[in-house]
Amino acid sequence: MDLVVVVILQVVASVASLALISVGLAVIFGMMRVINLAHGEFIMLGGYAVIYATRWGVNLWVAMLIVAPLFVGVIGIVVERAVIRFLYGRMIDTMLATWGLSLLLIGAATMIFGNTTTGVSAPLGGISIGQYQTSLYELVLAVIVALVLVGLMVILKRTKAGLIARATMQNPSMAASLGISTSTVYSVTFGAGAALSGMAGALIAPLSGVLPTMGISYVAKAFITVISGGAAIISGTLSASALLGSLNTLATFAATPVIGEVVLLLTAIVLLRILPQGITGKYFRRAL
Amino acid sequence: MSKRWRTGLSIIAFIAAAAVIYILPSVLELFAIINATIYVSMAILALSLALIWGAGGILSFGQAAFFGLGGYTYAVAAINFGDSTWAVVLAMVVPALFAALLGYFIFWGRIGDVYLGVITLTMTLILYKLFNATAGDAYTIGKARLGGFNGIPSTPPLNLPWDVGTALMPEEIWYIAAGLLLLFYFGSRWLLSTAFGRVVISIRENERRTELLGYDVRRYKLGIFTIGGAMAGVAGILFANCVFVSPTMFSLFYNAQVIIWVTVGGVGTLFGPIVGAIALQMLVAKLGTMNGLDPNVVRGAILILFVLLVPKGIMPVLQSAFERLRARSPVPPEPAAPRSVAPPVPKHEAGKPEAALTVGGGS
Amino acid sequence: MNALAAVPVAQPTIRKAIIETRGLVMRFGGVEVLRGIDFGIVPGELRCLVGPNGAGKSTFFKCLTGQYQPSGGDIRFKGEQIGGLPSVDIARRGIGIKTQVPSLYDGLTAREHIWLAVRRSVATAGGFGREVNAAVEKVLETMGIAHLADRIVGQLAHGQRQMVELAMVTAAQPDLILLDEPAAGMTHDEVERLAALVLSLRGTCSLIVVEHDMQFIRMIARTVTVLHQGQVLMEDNVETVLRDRRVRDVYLGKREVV
Repeated sequence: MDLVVVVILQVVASVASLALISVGLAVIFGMMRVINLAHGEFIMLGGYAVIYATRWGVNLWVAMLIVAPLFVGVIGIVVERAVIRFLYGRMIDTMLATWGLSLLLIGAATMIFGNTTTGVSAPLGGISIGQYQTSLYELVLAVIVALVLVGLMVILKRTKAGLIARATMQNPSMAASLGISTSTVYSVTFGAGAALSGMAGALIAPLSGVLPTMGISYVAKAFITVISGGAAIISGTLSASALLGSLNTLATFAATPVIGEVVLLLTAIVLLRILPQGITGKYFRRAL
Repeated sequence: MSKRWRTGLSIIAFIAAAAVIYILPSVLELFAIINATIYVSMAILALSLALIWGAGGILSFGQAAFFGLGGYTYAVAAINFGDSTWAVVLAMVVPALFAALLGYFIFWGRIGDVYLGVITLTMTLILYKLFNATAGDAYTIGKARLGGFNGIPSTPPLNLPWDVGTALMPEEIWYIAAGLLLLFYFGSRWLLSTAFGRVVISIRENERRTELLGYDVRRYKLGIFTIGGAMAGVAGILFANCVFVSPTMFSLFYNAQVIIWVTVGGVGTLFGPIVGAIALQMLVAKLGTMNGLDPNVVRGAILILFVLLVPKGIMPVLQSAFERLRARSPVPPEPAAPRSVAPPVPKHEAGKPEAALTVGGGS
Repeated sequence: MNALAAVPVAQPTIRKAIIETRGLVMRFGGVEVLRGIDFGIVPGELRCLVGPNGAGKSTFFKCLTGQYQPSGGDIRFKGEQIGGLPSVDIARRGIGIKTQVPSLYDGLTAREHIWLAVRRSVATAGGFGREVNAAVEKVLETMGIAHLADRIVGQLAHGQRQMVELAMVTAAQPDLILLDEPAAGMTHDEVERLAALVLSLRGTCSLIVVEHDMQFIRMIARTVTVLHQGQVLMEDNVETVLRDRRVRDVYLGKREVV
């Protein structure tokens, strides 16, 4: 019985972390049709932001939820202005350029921070369920992820900024003729996606540690989750994370973590074979 | 006509390349020869992607999967057989079969663009994770221990066919590698000039149209994908001979590198990616030894700059510069306006459009 | 249906028709673009298909060539059911199409275009390189595009591109050719040449031509089918159709009515 509870909690935590590391990429892909391969490095930068902010005495939660997203968001806006904006409509070229950016950031981080893992200790300690121990932080993380997704939904659906953003993505020339500065919208959207990635990095830093090359292990998973989810940002991320995350955890419990990863990746491949447009390409088409 | 120029240039290039290949071992130290062989194996890897992506229009993010499979197959087979002959054959067959399976899955499922990229990338990651997890005695194939993260440190070198006694020296492996690069380059050019190759290029240009003409595009894509897989396998064999096989062969790092080389050299050309692979490796090696600059910064900056400023790559830019130069010279240039008289090509050659197919098609 | 019976030439029976549709329906989500089309032509016939924008002409062509899978109804080509087959299979059975937006290989030369088309038909018949090349040159001559043979098609003028595509489609020697607005964007001279070409094809193969240019239709057509809102409005001799009040209403006054 305790084991069942633990497995369920693990599944929830795993789904949440998959959604967390994917949502920034999903915003950028879903809104702008840009595949940002430097996504993993935005996560990495978020992690370093938290480490340095806490060293300088900033409260951990403030560092994770405010400093890191702001820092990476600004970097995202700079990147959009300097590189991405020249490449709209050229999907492959954007992928290549962001891949270049990814390498550049890895190299720069290695030069600045060194090629070693640094970390912050996870707050909140653990809780015991029967004979099992589980980290309270991971559960709080799941709650935060849920709040982030709900917040994103509210911003996109209920606010003026969200409406402007959606209108611009649907029909840029129409939006422009209504007096919307589309280039600002693109910048801000990209910045927002980057900020979400930065927050993801900050939130997982206590669990995984921070390393210049850490992005590599996240970008592929995030990429797979977003593409499997399809075009809809929130429902796509959620449905794909739920499916892939739970299979991953269950396979990990049944076999080994490696098998868990392999099951995750194979599921994604088979999923794309059956549903080439992703989950939301077939179901909940009109959702966000 | 530019065709004759091209043939002339090719012959000159071939002779120059052969001369360089021949002389190199006598001017370089052993360590430099091995390095040069690594560069050449990378050039073959780049060429394999040039075929798949440049000619076939299939942007595979997982070319390293075939490269790694080739290396591992070679190492495992060579250790087990003691003789490298069949190991080489197997190391081409296994990646080719893998490519054929994956290609069947992708092309018969009509998966394109980004989705194709995700699937190929995912496949490579799966292999990376699997091979990383092969530490310990449980994971041995015959006499070969897969060795997990450390790979197979003592990969046996090539030997003369069916003659286990004569393991080849690094110089000899250099000759083989460089010879194979030449062979593959001219072989690829020939391939693209055949009926098969022309249809492959037409698919890159307009898949729907080729389909409406009644070609089963899936088969052609599968064909070029499989050939590219086998070629990447050969690159893996050569790499295994110079370094050793380890899961990093499947890593995102190699996947990214190949794509950078092809982008920098010029998608749609065959020569460009070879130049890109060799030049960039030399550049990165040079900068790396000079001042502690992280090579990834160099690679990343190069990729960004090329995508932004020279999206077509070096070769197409050089080619058009060359054409412009020639157009200014007193030699009569190619007609700018349509002419009603027959073009000055020998009649029997008139129906062979390979010049524009292999090179001009990239623009 | 009544109009169909009134035209003796076009009266399709399963035995005679080269292509025939029965109750062809195409739905996109909730929108029914084709609402039960009964249509047929006999071998060697040249039929014009007209109708206002949104009548479903291009959709109809896409169903015939397998680019869309019909939601309902039958398509028979040479007596065989082809509805829903992949476009490769349909092309191989002998239907060629010139699409509305020219579908070409912008990086290849005109000669390479023709080669791709000729090779399919010659190689299927067991021919080899030399025969293919000879056939390519012949097509370039007869279609009057020999002077464009070595030009990159992406750099040609619109009318020339139309001719290259038409040449490519005919070079594949299909039994049925579908032409979707072949005269669009052509100069007057080019239109006349096109008309002559289309007329010269009649008899060797069957053609269905979608066109807005009434001048062009007068030059080539005998029987005209009018599509309106996804249905056959009428089908008759070209002069009768052009005089018909309903047709004029559809095209002019009441075109905007849903």
